[in-house]
Amino acid sequence: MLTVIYDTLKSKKLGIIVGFATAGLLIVGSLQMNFYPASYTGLAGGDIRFFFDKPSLAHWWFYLLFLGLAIYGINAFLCTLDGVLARLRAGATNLTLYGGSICHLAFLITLLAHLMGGLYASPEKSLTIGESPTPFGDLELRVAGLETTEYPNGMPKEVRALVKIKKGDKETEQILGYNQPVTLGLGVKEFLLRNYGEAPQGVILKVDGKPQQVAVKESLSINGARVQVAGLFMHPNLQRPVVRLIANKEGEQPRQVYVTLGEASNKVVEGAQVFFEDIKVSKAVAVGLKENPSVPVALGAVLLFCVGVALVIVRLIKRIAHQF
Amino acid sequence: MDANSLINLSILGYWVSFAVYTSFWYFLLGERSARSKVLILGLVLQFLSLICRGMAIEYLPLTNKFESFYAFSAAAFLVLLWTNKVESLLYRLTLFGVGYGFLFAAAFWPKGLSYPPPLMLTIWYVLHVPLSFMCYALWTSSLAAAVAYFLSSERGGGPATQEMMELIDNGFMYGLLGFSISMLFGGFWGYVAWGDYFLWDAKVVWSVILWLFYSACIHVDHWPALKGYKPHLAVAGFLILFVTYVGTSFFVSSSHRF
Repeated sequence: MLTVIYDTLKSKKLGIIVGFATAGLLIVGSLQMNFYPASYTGLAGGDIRFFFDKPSLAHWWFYLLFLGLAIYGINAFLCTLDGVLARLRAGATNLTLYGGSICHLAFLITLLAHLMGGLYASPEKSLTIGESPTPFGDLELRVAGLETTEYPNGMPKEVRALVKIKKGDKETEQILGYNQPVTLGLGVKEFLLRNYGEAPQGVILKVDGKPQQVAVKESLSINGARVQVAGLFMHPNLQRPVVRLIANKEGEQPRQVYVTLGEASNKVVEGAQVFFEDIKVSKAVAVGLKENPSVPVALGAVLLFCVGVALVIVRLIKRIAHQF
Repeated sequence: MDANSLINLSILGYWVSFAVYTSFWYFLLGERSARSKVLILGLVLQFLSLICRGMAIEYLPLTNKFESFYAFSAAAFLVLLWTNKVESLLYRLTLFGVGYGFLFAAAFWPKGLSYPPPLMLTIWYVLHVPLSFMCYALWTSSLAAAVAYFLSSERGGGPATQEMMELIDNGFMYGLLGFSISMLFGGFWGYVAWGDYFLWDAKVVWSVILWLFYSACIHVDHWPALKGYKPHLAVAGFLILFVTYVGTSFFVSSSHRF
């Protein structure tokens, strides 16, 4: 029985059938995703958890595809092993004969990378990095420069943001741009440029006629109270920026005051006249953080594939040269 | 010369090459050397025209549908030139017909100046797209050989049939080899541009379908009973190719709809 299973799994016919079947199932899946998009809301990137987290009959093609690719992987492995052993037994020392087998191995690793990425890649997180350090996990990121170029019609062409990355005492820098992500850990972590321009870094408040610059989430002292700039919003009706101040005084309940931009909208905060004079902006980039642990594995597959293809090409060149 | 003048020159080049290729329908029936000369003339004009567009935008001129169809037709004509020794008229007619069809279709798209969006500005795009087009053209050659096989009066083990089978095999093999490399470039592009080397995006999924399909095709020799179905597979492969190249750009939502 086991021999029959083994022989079936390493059958080249099975490989051909599964190859066409997986192509067919992907066709069905692609058409389903296009014509019934509601069933695939939330499916992003190369995620495959979606299909397991939300099991549905509509995803039948994926479950079969998953099974098909698993069989394809096993079949490719066994066929390759069989072929390599046969060549070794026959004493084949010409390395170019092994090009196809190396490509098969690369295919197998690619399948594993897709599985790993599909199961363990994190959904994209958004982050805005300005000129002042932005903490992110054990890192601190800041934009040290931003250069942009445009086409004659005003369309953006190139964006180059110099990003300084600080980890502990060590600071490194990388250029961030479209098609030029900041990558960390062999590409596992990747910051992708999503937008660029200026972002508010803080506000300028005039307290009893004296201007004070305060960053968002930082505090200033007014008549012995700590007043924190808790947030900066756009007023929905006035369409003007509003700053939220929270005054904390020992032994008293925190008080919240909203001050709209402009001298006419001044408010009394802890006994002082406060008006919201201006917003301090700095160059900033909006980035999307992606984490995919399969990237180094995929890179390994690429490397292996390149070796395999190079050997196949050498063999083809030899064959063509022989024909002439 | 400014960008607009270069674009106008490229449009002129398109129409002149179009006229040359239209005359090629007549030369298709003629002898090999005349065919080669006209084809080379058309290709030179086509490439000069594309170079003008490239100079206008200072980038690879594959930024819109016109340029895409125009470039793909050039790839098909290049393969036709490469296989010019093949004496089957049906093969030549089919391969040239597909290329001419795309050249003709290009006429219906805006031909003006279009700059590449920032996401196109990467070496991976430059490597990925032209190589994919060459592979599509090689698979179109397999289709042409299959059509010649089906419509030929000689069916069976004759030399003409053998030549067509060889063309189908070569199209499958070289197409897959190039497309695999192109997929790697595409994967790198996907990673730097969208953060994923694979996406559940129609164009990407159909490219994987193409790859899986032709991978299975090149292994068909291991199943002797299936060998005779290679022409059928070449036709089916071309249908998949057509959906991948044209269908996903027009009829479905895809990140590749530039």
